[in-house]
Amino acid sequence: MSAPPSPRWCRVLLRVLLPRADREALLGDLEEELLTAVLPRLGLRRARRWYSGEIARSLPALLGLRLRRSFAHAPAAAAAGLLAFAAGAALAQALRGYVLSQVPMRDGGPPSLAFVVGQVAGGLVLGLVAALAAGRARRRPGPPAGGGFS
Amino acid sequence: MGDDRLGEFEQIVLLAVLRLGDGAYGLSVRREILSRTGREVAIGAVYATLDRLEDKGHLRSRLGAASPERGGRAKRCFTLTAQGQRALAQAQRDLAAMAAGLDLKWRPA
Repeated sequence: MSAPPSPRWCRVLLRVLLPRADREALLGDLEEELLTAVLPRLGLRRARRWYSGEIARSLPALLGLRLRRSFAHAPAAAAAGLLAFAAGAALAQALRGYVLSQVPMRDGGPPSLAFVVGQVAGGLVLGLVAALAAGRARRRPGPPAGGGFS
Repeated sequence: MGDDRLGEFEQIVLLAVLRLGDGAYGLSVRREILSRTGREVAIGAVYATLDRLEDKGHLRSRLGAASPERGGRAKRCFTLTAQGQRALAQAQRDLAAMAAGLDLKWRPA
């Protein structure tokens, strides 16, 4: 007997909130409870409702977990974002210098507003990506106690 | 590491892990809490607490074996660390010290 597929919104939500290793452990627990306790007692339709309800009840705690991890990695994320911003700005400046050097009779002058705004926006996007990546990162659980199915 | 003080639910979770020994993972911890206290807690709350306790250094986790009834997914098993045992013992001592000499059979009128 296999468990009914979990609702799509539950899977999407867990994917957003938890790294893969945690998500798999949590989904495994839910599926074990569903198969061994809930499905025989409630039947298919109510079992699916139970599953959605369980995820909904877990939402505040999982959101808290996600935020706590993000804040725990905030200094690393900020440093990564700053570095990415500086590297992007230097690269953009070098590229601009090169392009202008290829245009005859055109001196550099100050960069345009659009150029500066583009640099800042690019840095912010890179910083955000770094912060999200750092928030999802976590230490790995120890190695498995035994392989395969028990 | 760092903050060794434990909240009430953290103590309950640590005691459940201690009782379950090698068989402590999210679902078994939740079942243990339900069977002993009657509290039906969300699995997400159990996981968030286990994760926080591991961050504090009170628990250690490892991946357990996968099984067919889990859809082939591995369990994340937890064990208490020496630091966790000390923190739990301290919390229990604090509670006993605060309760000593009080009449806890009080009932609302």
